[in-house]
Amino acid sequence: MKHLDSEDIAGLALGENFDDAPDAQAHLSACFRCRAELVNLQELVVTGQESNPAHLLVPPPSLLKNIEAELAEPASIARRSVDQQMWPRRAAMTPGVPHRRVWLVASAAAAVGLLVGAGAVFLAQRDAVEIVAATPLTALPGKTGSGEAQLVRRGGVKEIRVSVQGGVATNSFRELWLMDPGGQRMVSLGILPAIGTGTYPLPPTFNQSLAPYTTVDVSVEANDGNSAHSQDSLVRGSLAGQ
Amino acid sequence: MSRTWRELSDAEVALAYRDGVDGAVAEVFRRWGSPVYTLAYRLLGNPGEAEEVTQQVFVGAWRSRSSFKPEVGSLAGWLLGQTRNRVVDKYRMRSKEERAIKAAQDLAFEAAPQSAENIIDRILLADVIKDLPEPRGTVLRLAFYEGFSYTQIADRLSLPVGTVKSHARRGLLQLRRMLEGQR
Repeated sequence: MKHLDSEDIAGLALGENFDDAPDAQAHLSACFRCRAELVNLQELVVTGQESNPAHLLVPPPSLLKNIEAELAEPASIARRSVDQQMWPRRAAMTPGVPHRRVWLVASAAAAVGLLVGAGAVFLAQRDAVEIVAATPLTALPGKTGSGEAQLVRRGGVKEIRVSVQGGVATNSFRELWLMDPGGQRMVSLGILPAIGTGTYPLPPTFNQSLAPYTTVDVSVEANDGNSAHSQDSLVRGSLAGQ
Repeated sequence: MSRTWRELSDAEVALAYRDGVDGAVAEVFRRWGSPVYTLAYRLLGNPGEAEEVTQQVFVGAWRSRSSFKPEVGSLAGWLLGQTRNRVVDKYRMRSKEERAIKAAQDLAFEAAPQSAENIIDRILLADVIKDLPEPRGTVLRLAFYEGFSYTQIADRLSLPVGTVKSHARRGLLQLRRMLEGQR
């Protein structure tokens, strides 16, 4: 049996139709090997889609100093007995560092593709992005969901970046809000795309501080034309102090 | 060295690191601090422990750098493997109660499982895509990250659709070969 050409299988994995390989469908239903190859490449496509380096988190810059400081310690520490090494020391983090961390994105790792003009030169974006604060988003009682929100400053503009899992159902959508801790006053930042990941620029009125809207809330909204908060919240997190 | 660190390829930096060249720790942290930290954070779920593990990885890796074998895999893959091992140690040190909570959370999020291998593959793949020659790398980035069709990519890059298609297909096969070399 003549197997499918691997480039044709790659094309199918990338979502092409069978135009280039009209007999492929019949062959695939009969051939385990080509089917396995297709599944393998389809998985690679999904991994590729999820591999966006813009989604990498950036460690606090102070971490490198801590690493270098630990490495500069006398060699006797490096030669600790095996027994002692069984119990890793708590990392030499600077005591008293407040919980709110300022994270600087040295953008090499988080480089985002930026295409300029029709000639399309691919450039690694070197704009510094500063992650001002971050919070996990946790499910409200009775809900199943999770996520993460970051308050980011890019070129003088503050943005909220969220990634939310859960709460997807037909006939409803998810909406991102900033609210005061009591949940009395709120601002809608917009609707979450189906994949649950989005970036939401904040209006300049938030440049100094988010207060009092320091709670990040994701609601499930019925498709009913009512723009008010449904009071059906999925996940929440706090950016208190920002 | 006459060239600056930033001009070196990933493979050259890896060799300099293994050989213990001054400044290699900082450069390796600059290139792979984010992937290591991201993996630790995704697996542990909190920034404090992720920082601790990242520090342990970079200190431990430098001290055992002679055991890094460039012919076996990439430095990124080696560092991520160490990160996974440190996270496993950390899991073992957590109290039973905490483990029970974690297990319950894992169950709750079963819909979107994030195994260490899966996260590592994603991180390595980003690294590999970065190394693809142009325009192949851009073609795949637009397809993967922007969800562009071949026609849209062709418009954007002013290339014939056939060329885009061929780059996408061959690029995908090339990625698989490169990823196998990384692991």
